[in-house]
Amino acid sequence: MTDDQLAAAYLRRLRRAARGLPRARRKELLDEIADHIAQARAAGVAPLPDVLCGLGDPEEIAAAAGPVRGARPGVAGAAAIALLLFGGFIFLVGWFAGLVLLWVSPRWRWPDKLLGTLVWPGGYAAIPLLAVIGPAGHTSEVCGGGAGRPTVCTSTGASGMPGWLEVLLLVITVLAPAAMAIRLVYSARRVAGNAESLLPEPMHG
Amino acid sequence: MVADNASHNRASAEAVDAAAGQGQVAQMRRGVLPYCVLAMLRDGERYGFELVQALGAVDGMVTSQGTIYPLLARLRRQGLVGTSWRESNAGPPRRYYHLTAAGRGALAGFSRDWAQLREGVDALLTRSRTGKEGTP
Repeated sequence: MTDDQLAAAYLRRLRRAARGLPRARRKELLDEIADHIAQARAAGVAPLPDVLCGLGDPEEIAAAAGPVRGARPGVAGAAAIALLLFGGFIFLVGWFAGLVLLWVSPRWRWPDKLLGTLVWPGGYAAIPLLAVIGPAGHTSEVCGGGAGRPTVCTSTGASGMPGWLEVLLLVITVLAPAAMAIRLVYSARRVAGNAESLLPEPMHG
Repeated sequence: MVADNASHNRASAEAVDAAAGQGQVAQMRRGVLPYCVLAMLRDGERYGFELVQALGAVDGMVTSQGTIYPLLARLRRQGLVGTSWRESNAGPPRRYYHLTAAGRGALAGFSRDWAQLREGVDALLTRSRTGKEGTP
Protein backbone atom coordinates (compact mmCIF):
# COMPACT_ATOMS: atom_id res chain seq x y z
CA MET A 1 0.00 0.00 0.00
CA THR A 2 1.42 3.39 -0.97
CA ASP A 3 1.43 6.32 1.44
CA ASP A 4 -1.36 7.96 -0.56
CA GLN A 5 -3.54 4.89 -0.24
CA LEU A 6 -2.72 4.57 3.43
CA ALA A 7 -3.66 8.18 4.12
CA ALA A 8 -6.85 7.85 2.06
CA ALA A 9 -7.85 4.68 3.92
CA TYR A 10 -7.28 6.41 7.26
CA LEU A 11 -9.42 9.39 6.26
CA ARG A 12 -12.14 7.09 4.94
CA ARG A 13 -12.25 5.34 8.29
CA LEU A 14 -12.46 8.68 10.04
CA ARG A 15 -15.26 9.84 7.76
CA ARG A 16 -17.19 6.70 8.55
CA ALA A 17 -16.57 7.04 12.29
CA ALA A 18 -17.65 10.69 12.22
CA ARG A 19 -20.85 9.99 10.31
CA GLY A 20 -23.09 10.90 13.23
CA LEU A 21 -21.54 14.36 13.71
CA PRO A 22 -23.28 17.49 12.48
CA ARG A 23 -22.16 18.13 8.93
CA ALA A 24 -20.10 21.28 9.56
CA ARG A 25 -18.26 19.78 12.51
CA ARG A 26 -17.52 16.63 10.59
CA LYS A 27 -16.14 18.51 7.60
CA GLU A 28 -13.96 20.67 9.82
CA LEU A 29 -12.59 17.61 11.63
CA LEU A 30 -11.82 15.81 8.37
CA ASP A 31 -10.14 18.92 6.93
CA GLU A 32 -7.97 19.37 10.00
CA ILE A 33 -6.85 15.75 10.15
CA ALA A 34 -6.18 15.70 6.40
CA ASP A 35 -4.20 18.91 6.82
CA HIS A 36 -2.24 17.41 9.71
CA ILE A 37 -1.31 14.39 7.61
CA ALA A 38 -0.32 16.59 4.67
CA GLN A 39 1.87 18.79 6.86
CA ALA A 40 3.47 15.85 8.61
CA ARG A 41 4.30 14.33 5.23
CA ALA A 42 5.64 17.64 3.94
CA ALA A 43 7.78 18.06 7.05
CA GLY A 44 8.98 14.49 6.69
CA VAL A 45 9.46 14.15 10.45
CA ALA A 46 8.30 10.54 10.59
CA PRO A 47 7.15 7.74 8.27
CA LEU A 48 3.42 7.95 7.53
CA PRO A 49 2.43 4.84 9.54
CA ASP A 50 4.00 6.49 12.60
CA VAL A 51 2.17 9.74 11.88
CA LEU A 52 -1.17 7.90 11.65
CA CYS A 53 -0.37 5.89 14.76
CA GLY A 54 0.39 9.13 16.60
CA LEU A 55 -2.95 10.58 15.50
CA GLY A 56 -4.71 7.59 17.05
CA ASP A 57 -7.81 5.58 16.20
CA PRO A 58 -10.20 7.42 13.89
CA GLU A 59 -13.03 6.17 16.09
CA GLU A 60 -11.44 7.75 19.15
CA ILE A 61 -10.95 11.05 17.32
CA ALA A 62 -14.56 11.07 16.14
CA ALA A 63 -15.77 10.28 19.65
CA ALA A 64 -13.72 13.19 21.01
CA ALA A 65 -15.54 15.49 18.59
CA GLY A 66 -18.51 15.42 20.95
CA PRO A 67 -21.98 13.98 20.98
CA VAL A 68 -22.13 11.96 17.84
CA ARG A 69 -25.85 12.56 17.54
CA GLY A 70 -25.81 16.31 17.84
CA ALA A 71 -29.01 17.95 18.94
CA ARG A 72 -31.37 15.74 17.00
CA PRO A 73 -32.81 12.42 18.16
CA GLY A 74 -31.03 10.78 15.22
CA VAL A 75 -32.29 8.21 12.76
CA ALA A 76 -32.65 5.36 15.27
CA GLY A 77 -34.33 7.68 17.76
CA ALA A 78 -36.75 9.01 15.18
CA ALA A 79 -37.48 5.45 14.07
CA ALA A 80 -38.16 4.44 17.67
CA ILE A 81 -40.66 7.27 18.12
CA ALA A 82 -42.37 6.69 14.77
CA LEU A 83 -42.65 2.95 15.41
CA LEU A 84 -44.02 3.50 18.91
CA LEU A 85 -46.74 5.72 17.43
CA PHE A 86 -47.61 3.89 14.24
CA GLY A 87 -45.68 0.61 14.30
CA GLY A 88 -48.73 -1.12 15.69
CA PHE A 89 -50.33 -0.90 12.28
CA ILE A 90 -47.52 -3.12 10.94
CA PHE A 91 -49.07 -6.25 12.44
CA LEU A 92 -48.19 -4.90 15.89
CA VAL A 93 -44.64 -6.16 15.28
CA GLY A 94 -43.60 -2.64 14.35
CA TRP A 95 -44.53 -1.39 17.80
CA PHE A 96 -42.38 -4.04 19.44
CA ALA A 97 -39.49 -3.04 17.16
CA GLY A 98 -39.97 0.55 18.32
CA LEU A 99 -40.01 -0.67 21.91
CA VAL A 100 -36.68 -2.44 21.44
CA LEU A 101 -35.15 0.65 19.81
CA LEU A 102 -36.45 2.76 22.69
CA TRP A 103 -34.97 0.57 25.41
CA VAL A 104 -31.58 -0.03 23.81
CA SER A 105 -31.11 3.65 23.01
CA PRO A 106 -28.70 5.68 25.15
CA ARG A 107 -30.74 8.80 24.26
CA TRP A 108 -33.34 8.26 26.91
CA ARG A 109 -33.29 7.54 30.59
CA TRP A 110 -35.58 4.98 32.10
CA PRO A 111 -38.51 7.26 33.07
CA ASP A 112 -38.79 8.31 29.44
CA LYS A 113 -38.47 4.70 28.32
CA LEU A 114 -41.25 3.72 30.69
CA LEU A 115 -43.39 6.58 29.42
CA GLY A 116 -42.79 5.49 25.81
CA THR A 117 -43.80 1.95 26.73
CA LEU A 118 -46.97 2.76 28.64
CA VAL A 119 -48.44 5.51 26.40
CA TRP A 120 -49.90 3.44 24.82
CA PRO A 121 -48.89 -0.18 24.38
CA GLY A 122 -49.42 -0.72 20.66
CA GLY A 123 -49.43 3.01 19.89
CA TYR A 124 -52.21 4.46 17.78
CA ALA A 125 -53.14 1.03 16.49
CA ALA A 126 -54.28 0.11 19.99
CA ILE A 127 -56.71 3.02 20.35
CA PRO A 128 -59.56 1.50 18.31
CA LEU A 129 -58.98 -1.64 20.34
CA LEU A 130 -59.21 0.35 23.56
CA ALA A 131 -62.39 1.92 22.33
CA VAL A 132 -63.88 -1.53 21.81
CA ILE A 133 -62.86 -3.09 25.09
CA GLY A 134 -62.72 0.11 27.13
CA PRO A 135 -65.61 1.84 28.81
CA ALA A 136 -66.61 3.48 25.57
CA GLY A 137 -67.23 0.06 24.12
CA HIS A 138 -69.81 -0.77 26.70
CA THR A 139 -72.17 1.92 25.63
CA SER A 140 -75.62 0.73 25.43
CA GLU A 141 -77.71 2.32 22.82
CA VAL A 142 -81.30 2.82 23.44
CA CYS A 143 -83.09 3.49 20.28
CA GLY A 144 -86.56 4.63 20.33
CA GLY A 145 -88.43 4.85 17.19
CA GLY A 146 -91.07 3.34 15.21
CA ALA A 147 -93.45 3.92 12.50
CA GLY A 148 -93.78 7.55 11.64
CA ARG A 149 -91.23 8.75 14.13
CA PRO A 150 -87.56 9.49 13.49
CA THR A 151 -85.24 7.05 15.14
CA VAL A 152 -83.66 8.57 18.24
CA CYS A 153 -80.75 6.92 19.85
CA THR A 154 -79.27 7.91 23.17
CA SER A 155 -76.13 6.32 24.37
CA THR A 156 -74.71 6.25 27.83
CA GLY A 157 -71.55 4.50 28.96
CA ALA A 158 -71.92 1.45 31.09
CA SER A 159 -70.07 3.36 33.78
CA GLY A 160 -72.73 5.97 33.61
CA MET A 161 -70.26 8.57 32.30
CA PRO A 162 -71.80 11.46 30.50
CA GLY A 163 -71.03 11.69 26.82
CA TRP A 164 -68.79 14.75 27.12
CA LEU A 165 -66.53 12.97 29.58
CA GLU A 166 -66.14 10.08 27.18
CA VAL A 167 -65.24 12.51 24.42
CA LEU A 168 -62.72 14.16 26.70
CA LEU A 169 -61.18 10.79 27.56
CA LEU A 170 -61.03 9.92 23.90
CA VAL A 171 -59.28 13.20 23.10
CA ILE A 172 -56.76 12.59 25.88
CA THR A 173 -56.25 9.05 24.67
CA VAL A 174 -55.53 10.30 21.18
CA LEU A 175 -53.34 13.22 22.22
CA ALA A 176 -51.28 11.37 24.83
CA PRO A 177 -49.06 9.47 22.37
CA ALA A 178 -48.35 12.73 20.52
CA ALA A 179 -47.39 14.38 23.80
CA MET A 180 -45.22 11.36 24.63
CA ALA A 181 -43.48 11.67 21.25
CA ILE A 182 -42.77 15.38 21.78
CA ARG A 183 -41.39 14.67 25.22
CA LEU A 184 -39.10 11.93 23.85
CA VAL A 185 -37.77 14.29 21.17
CA TYR A 186 -36.94 16.91 23.79
CA SER A 187 -35.38 14.52 26.29
CA ALA A 188 -33.21 13.01 23.53
CA ARG A 189 -31.92 16.51 22.89
CA ARG A 190 -31.20 17.04 26.52
CA VAL A 191 -29.21 13.80 26.78
CA ALA A 192 -27.23 14.78 23.69
CA GLY A 193 -26.54 18.14 25.33
CA ASN A 194 -25.38 16.43 28.50
CA ALA A 195 -22.95 14.32 26.52
CA GLU A 196 -21.32 17.55 25.44
CA SER A 197 -21.06 18.86 28.99
CA LEU A 198 -19.57 15.57 30.19
CA LEU A 199 -16.41 16.67 28.46
CA PRO A 200 -14.30 18.67 30.84
CA GLU A 201 -15.67 22.14 31.21
CA PRO A 202 -13.32 24.97 32.00
CA MET A 203 -13.52 26.36 35.48
CA HIS A 204 -13.68 30.11 35.73
CA GLY A 205 -12.10 32.17 38.43
CA MET B 1 -7.02 -26.82 38.83
CA VAL B 2 -8.72 -25.06 41.71
CA ALA B 3 -5.46 -23.39 42.66
CA ASP B 4 -4.95 -22.50 39.02
CA ASN B 5 -8.34 -20.87 38.91
CA ALA B 6 -7.68 -18.98 42.12
CA SER B 7 -4.37 -17.64 40.89
CA HIS B 8 -5.95 -16.83 37.56
CA ASN B 9 -8.75 -14.95 39.29
CA ARG B 10 -6.29 -13.04 41.42
CA ALA B 11 -4.19 -12.19 38.40
CA SER B 12 -7.20 -10.96 36.47
CA ALA B 13 -8.39 -8.98 39.50
CA GLU B 14 -4.99 -7.30 39.62
CA ALA B 15 -5.18 -6.65 35.90
CA VAL B 16 -8.59 -5.06 36.39
CA ASP B 17 -7.22 -2.90 39.22
CA ALA B 18 -4.30 -1.83 37.09
CA ALA B 19 -6.62 -1.04 34.18
CA ALA B 20 -8.92 0.96 36.46
CA GLY B 21 -5.92 2.87 37.79
CA GLN B 22 -4.73 3.60 34.28
CA GLY B 23 -8.25 4.62 33.30
CA GLN B 24 -8.27 7.11 36.14
CA VAL B 25 -4.90 8.53 35.14
CA ALA B 26 -6.13 8.78 31.56
CA GLN B 27 -9.22 10.57 32.85
CA MET B 28 -7.11 13.03 34.84
CA ARG B 29 -4.97 13.64 31.80
CA ARG B 30 -8.08 14.31 29.74
CA GLY B 31 -9.25 16.71 32.42
CA VAL B 32 -6.10 18.84 32.39
CA LEU B 33 -5.43 18.62 28.65
CA PRO B 34 -7.65 21.59 27.69
CA TYR B 35 -5.68 23.79 30.08
CA CYS B 36 -2.38 22.51 28.72
CA VAL B 37 -3.59 23.55 25.29
CA LEU B 38 -4.53 26.98 26.64
CA ALA B 39 -1.14 27.24 28.37
CA MET B 40 0.67 26.52 25.10
CA LEU B 41 -1.08 29.50 23.54
CA ARG B 42 -0.18 31.85 26.37
CA ASP B 43 2.90 33.23 24.64
CA GLY B 44 1.33 33.77 21.27
CA GLU B 45 -0.60 32.14 18.50
CA ARG B 46 0.24 28.77 16.99
CA TYR B 47 -1.24 26.75 14.21
CA GLY B 48 -2.87 23.39 14.78
CA PHE B 49 -0.14 21.11 13.52
CA GLU B 50 2.52 22.92 15.50
CA LEU B 51 0.44 22.80 18.66
CA VAL B 52 -0.27 19.10 18.27
CA GLN B 53 3.40 18.33 17.63
CA ALA B 54 4.47 20.26 20.71
CA LEU B 55 1.87 18.58 22.93
CA GLY B 56 2.76 15.18 21.49
CA ALA B 57 6.38 15.80 22.46
CA VAL B 58 5.41 16.07 26.15
CA ASP B 59 5.86 12.57 27.48
CA GLY B 60 2.63 10.79 28.40
CA MET B 61 0.48 13.85 27.78
CA VAL B 62 -1.42 12.80 24.68
CA THR B 63 -2.04 9.24 23.59
CA SER B 64 -3.80 10.08 20.36
CA GLN B 65 -2.88 13.44 18.90
CA GLY B 66 -5.87 13.47 16.59
CA THR B 67 -8.20 14.13 19.54
CA ILE B 68 -6.58 17.55 20.06
CA TYR B 69 -8.34 18.90 16.96
CA PRO B 70 -11.84 18.27 18.33
CA LEU B 71 -10.62 19.71 21.62
CA LEU B 72 -9.47 22.88 19.87
CA ALA B 73 -12.82 23.11 18.11
CA ARG B 74 -14.59 22.84 21.46
CA LEU B 75 -12.40 25.49 23.06
CA ARG B 76 -13.27 27.71 20.14
CA ARG B 77 -17.00 27.09 20.59
CA GLN B 78 -16.59 27.92 24.26
CA GLY B 79 -14.92 31.16 23.31
CA LEU B 80 -11.64 30.34 25.07
CA VAL B 81 -9.56 30.40 21.90
CA GLY B 82 -9.98 32.34 18.70
CA THR B 83 -8.79 31.42 15.24
CA SER B 84 -7.52 33.24 12.21
CA TRP B 85 -6.47 32.03 8.80
CA ARG B 86 -2.99 32.91 7.59
CA GLU B 87 -1.33 32.32 4.31
CA SER B 88 1.64 30.01 4.61
CA ASN B 89 4.62 30.17 2.30
CA ALA B 90 4.10 26.47 1.54
CA GLY B 91 0.73 24.84 0.99
CA PRO B 92 -2.79 25.97 1.85
CA PRO B 93 -3.60 28.70 4.41
CA ARG B 94 -3.26 27.64 8.02
CA ARG B 95 -5.61 28.14 10.90
CA TYR B 96 -3.87 29.85 13.79
CA TYR B 97 -5.18 29.63 17.34
CA HIS B 98 -4.85 32.33 19.97
CA LEU B 99 -6.09 32.83 23.53
CA THR B 100 -9.12 35.05 24.06
CA ALA B 101 -9.61 37.12 27.19
CA ALA B 102 -11.96 34.42 28.50
CA GLY B 103 -9.32 31.79 27.73
CA ARG B 104 -6.73 33.77 29.62
CA GLY B 105 -9.09 34.02 32.60
CA ALA B 106 -9.83 30.30 32.54
CA LEU B 107 -6.12 29.53 32.39
CA ALA B 108 -5.37 31.83 35.34
CA GLY B 109 -8.18 30.23 37.33
CA PHE B 110 -6.93 26.76 36.55
CA SER B 111 -3.36 27.67 37.46
CA ARG B 112 -4.54 28.62 40.95
CA ASP B 113 -6.78 25.56 41.33
CA TRP B 114 -4.05 23.29 40.06
CA ALA B 115 -1.44 24.64 42.47
CA GLN B 116 -3.84 24.14 45.35
CA LEU B 117 -4.79 20.62 44.26
CA ARG B 118 -1.18 19.63 43.67
CA GLU B 119 -0.10 20.86 47.09
CA GLY B 120 -2.96 19.06 48.78
CA VAL B 121 -2.34 15.77 46.98
CA ASP B 122 1.42 16.02 47.49
CA ALA B 123 0.92 16.62 51.20
CA LEU B 124 -1.32 13.55 51.48
CA LEU B 125 0.96 11.35 49.44
CA THR B 126 4.05 12.39 51.39
CA ARG B 127 2.33 11.99 54.75
CA SER B 128 1.16 8.46 54.00
CA ARG B 129 4.63 7.53 52.80
CA THR B 130 6.37 8.84 55.90
CA GLY B 131 3.68 7.15 57.99
CA LYS B 132 4.56 3.81 56.45
CA GLU B 133 8.27 4.40 56.92
CA GLY B 134 7.67 5.37 60.52
CA THR B 135 6.40 1.87 61.41
CA PRO B 136 9.32 -0.53 61.13
